[in-house]
Amino acid sequence: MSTELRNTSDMIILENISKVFQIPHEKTKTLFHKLRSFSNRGYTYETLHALKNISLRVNPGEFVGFIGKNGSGKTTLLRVIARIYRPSSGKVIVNEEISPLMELGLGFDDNFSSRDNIFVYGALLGLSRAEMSGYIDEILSFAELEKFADTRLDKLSSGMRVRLAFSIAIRSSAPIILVDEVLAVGDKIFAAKCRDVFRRFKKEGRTIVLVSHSMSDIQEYCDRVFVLDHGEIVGEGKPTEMIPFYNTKILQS
Amino acid sequence: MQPTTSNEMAAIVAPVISKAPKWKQYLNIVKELAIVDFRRKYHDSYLGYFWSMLNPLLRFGVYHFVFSYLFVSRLHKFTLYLLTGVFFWNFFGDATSSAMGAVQARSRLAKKIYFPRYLIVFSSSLTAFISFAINTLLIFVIVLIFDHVNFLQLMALIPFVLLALLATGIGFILATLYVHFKDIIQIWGVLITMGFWLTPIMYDPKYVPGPLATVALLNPVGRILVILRGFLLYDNVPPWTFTISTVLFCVSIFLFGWWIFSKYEHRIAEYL
Repeated sequence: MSTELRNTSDMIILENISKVFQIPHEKTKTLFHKLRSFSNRGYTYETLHALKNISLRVNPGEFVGFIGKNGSGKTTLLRVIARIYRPSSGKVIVNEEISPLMELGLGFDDNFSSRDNIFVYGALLGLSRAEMSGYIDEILSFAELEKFADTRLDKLSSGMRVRLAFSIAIRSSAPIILVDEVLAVGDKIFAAKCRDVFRRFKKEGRTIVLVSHSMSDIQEYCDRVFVLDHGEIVGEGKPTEMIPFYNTKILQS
Repeated sequence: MQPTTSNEMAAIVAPVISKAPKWKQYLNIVKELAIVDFRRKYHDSYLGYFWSMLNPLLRFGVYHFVFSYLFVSRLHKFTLYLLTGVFFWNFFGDATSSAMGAVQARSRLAKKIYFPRYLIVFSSSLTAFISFAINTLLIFVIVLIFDHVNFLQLMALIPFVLLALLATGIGFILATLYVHFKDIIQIWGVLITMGFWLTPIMYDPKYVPGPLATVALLNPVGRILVILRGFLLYDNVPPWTFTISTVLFCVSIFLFGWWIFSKYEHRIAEYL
């Protein structure tokens, strides 16, 4: 009900979004192969309709969840909202800055230290070296990586890298936050810290889109849940209605 | 929730807010990516950087030896003629090839967050440009000390900028193709080796057989070198039609490359 009151203008609007991928059957992608396959008409590909005609609106301050089986299009949808993918057809309108927090890290550069990667990612979030350097210690301490500031990233464990990614991304002041399966990482203590951050984001009135397989997280945080199946929205509603629907109708089928 | 924990958390994760305008943020991205590229290229060591400076110098030394003692060149100011040619061609090869490598290297980042993808190519060009600018400064100093001084030499900045525009534009086009055709890197490597001989680096188009002279003067890098040497070495202003057409060509390639790359930029995250 509170979301109705805050509904002055929509944060995210998707209109008839479709995304089609063409996945070539041939392994290599070279000019040589392309020329050869044209000559013997061997160039074939699989057409994958990752998203089919999706329309939805997200209100300011709303916490929205997406659930669905693997391959149902959740991650693709999040990437379309984040402008990482361009939809094959349809319209995406996002009215504010976005901070995306995608699965498994931030696309870090393994050859460089945590510190260097923090500066690069800071720049992508719109922050200069000077602005960012004041936060370096806090970021490292939140990630519990104080001792590894200058260690090459490929020497760190995958858990450490995800912690670093999370610690940087939550610095963003962006009003919209996209989260893809990151609550599932780290040990119990770190996960508790992450959940604290999410509660705070919610209190601050930020708009959050969460993709998760954890029904307890969906249940706890989300105001509204969309169920995706084979690239289509098959259900929309409160978590209390959608989670049983997903468990019985979608997972079982 | 205990209020103490919440307050602590609030203190720890205060968001960082930037009020810098968009173009300034973009410049900052280019800078940060270039810093990382530059350090990767030179293995994080000053020695690595000097080694990379040494590479064109050594090549220059070899050609100089060959054409001073084995096949004696009749060209006026041959040493400086060769030096400018080698350094300019070296930058052209470096900047165009590294655009493809940069797109591959940054594709992981591109899958995680949106930023204008053309910044990747600008930063790889900037990385190559830093060594190029230092090398060019070196040539200027050598010319001013050992050759002559003339106000016309300031005009040599025009071909310097033109080459940067041309190399970035072609880098954009190659990077666009690279997303679909990985072997473009090998093909381009061969073309760069061939182009070295089709460009007036160690010969003067005036003294070579007709077809080669035509190619050398149609070749945009060849034209840039003619303009550069005219201003820097020979106090010889090239015909203005020659200069204007070269400027127009380089600017068009730059704009076209930027446009075509931006048109297909989403494919970096989708296909690489």
